[in-house]
Amino acid sequence: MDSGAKRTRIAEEEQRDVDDHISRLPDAILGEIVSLLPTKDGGRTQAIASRWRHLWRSAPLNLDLHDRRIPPAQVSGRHPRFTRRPRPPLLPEPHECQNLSETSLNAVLAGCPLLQSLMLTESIGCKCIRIVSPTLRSIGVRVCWGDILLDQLIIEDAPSLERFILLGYLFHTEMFISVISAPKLKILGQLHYLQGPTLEFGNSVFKGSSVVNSTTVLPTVKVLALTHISLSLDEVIAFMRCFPCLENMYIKISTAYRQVTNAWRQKYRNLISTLDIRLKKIVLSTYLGNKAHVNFVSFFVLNARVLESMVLELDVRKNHDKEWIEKQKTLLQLEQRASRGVQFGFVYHFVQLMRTSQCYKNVQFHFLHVTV
Amino acid sequence: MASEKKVVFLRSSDGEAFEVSEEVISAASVTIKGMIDEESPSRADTAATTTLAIPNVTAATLSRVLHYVNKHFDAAAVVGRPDDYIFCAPGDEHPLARFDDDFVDVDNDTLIDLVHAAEYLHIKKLFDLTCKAVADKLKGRTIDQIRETFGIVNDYTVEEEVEVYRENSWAF
Repeated sequence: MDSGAKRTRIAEEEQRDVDDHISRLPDAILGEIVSLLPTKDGGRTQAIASRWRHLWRSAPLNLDLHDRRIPPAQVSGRHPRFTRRPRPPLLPEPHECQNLSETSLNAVLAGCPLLQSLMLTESIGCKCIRIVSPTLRSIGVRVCWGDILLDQLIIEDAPSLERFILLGYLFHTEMFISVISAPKLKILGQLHYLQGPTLEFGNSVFKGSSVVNSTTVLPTVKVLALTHISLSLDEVIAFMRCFPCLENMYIKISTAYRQVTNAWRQKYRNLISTLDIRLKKIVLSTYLGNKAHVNFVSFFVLNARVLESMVLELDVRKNHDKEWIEKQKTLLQLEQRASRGVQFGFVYHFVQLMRTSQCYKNVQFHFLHVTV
Repeated sequence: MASEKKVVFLRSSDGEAFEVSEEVISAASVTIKGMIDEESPSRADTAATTTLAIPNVTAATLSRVLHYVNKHFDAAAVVGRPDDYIFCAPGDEHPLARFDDDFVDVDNDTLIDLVHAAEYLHIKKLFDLTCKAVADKLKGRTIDQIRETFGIVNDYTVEEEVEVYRENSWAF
């Protein structure tokens, strides 16, 4: 190594009198930053200077399977964190690598013995994926469009899996997901009323946000998110039977579907004494205060004994006044609440159509906090 | 049962003191919460406010950090913060997204100071935000551009550099 040449070069650079701000950061932070970069940008940082060479190699690998010009196995093979096991077989040359096959995904998983998080987005190029990973803690799926849609996702053995998240609204409805073994699964969402895939946990089957069968009980699940549902107490109780230890529930309501009344006092007279509601937090959006919504919320107000917080997001366009809120408090029977310590909040969720994009964006969040 | 709002003073490395709500800063910074908890037995019955020395952060940076903290954590006492939501509609934007964008739209030196401060004060959200902002400055740029932007000295010899490029040809 020519250290003389190196020194001269450093001296030259110093003369330029540029403050090297970024090099003030310790390796741990620089590594963190490098891990946020897309795969190629991350790999390239090794060429910046000698100090950067090991940073990418010791940082968590951000493997962008969407970029088909990158051969995943080659990247993970280069990354020392992932080479403790025999190096996975190389994929075809980049230009031939049009789609990711199941074999190559498996190769990547096998080549990444420390991988904790996997996000499968859009059309990833194969119809069926089977996941076996001792280390994965979260799996996200967003399948929207593409030539080859993912039809089957089988989580065969994921002993560390804690989060399983379905994203997106234009979900591929024919998709079938089977979770065979995920004994630590804690967070599940968001189950979409109409467009959700079929989700199977042992004998329990969900189609979208409906419970088809709830034979298998999953006591590890603590957080559940449902979206685009017509607020139905029956459905939610069915979920609570499946997830008896549920603590947090997030629900987005759609008014597009047939509304039910949620009258429960007669129907669930016997159930109330036997159902142990462990829910600590419920968030409902958008709360309209109609009969169905009042019935639904009052069920939890009067029966959820360990409830800590209940958040009801209101429709800002309705411009509810104080009087309306007082009336709702009475209708919801907050005085008779089962959990004395519950925090109860009506929240305004401002939604505005942005000029720059066609989608709704939350532009302001204002709290109208009501303490009982 | 609203108790009186307590405040603490934070003294920057260059001696300037900043007032901040104890509740807000405790929710934001793990480091300061630890300091307050350590202090609390001695100040239980006194009305005097505490001043905590933050030796690693300058006044300029600390005031920026507190601006962020007040914006992000002041509603922390109220349930239903948007952060608690695990689902978002496509295109949904965090209500403070624009504030965050503007917040990190600063020169490199200021940004790196913020990364340092967020790390020292252990404010995870701010740390993530600022690290992401630094990463964005590295993204999509050539090596020369990155070196120029951050004034990084290339200390590779020609042979070493060739070797790095050869080994990682997939990335270039």
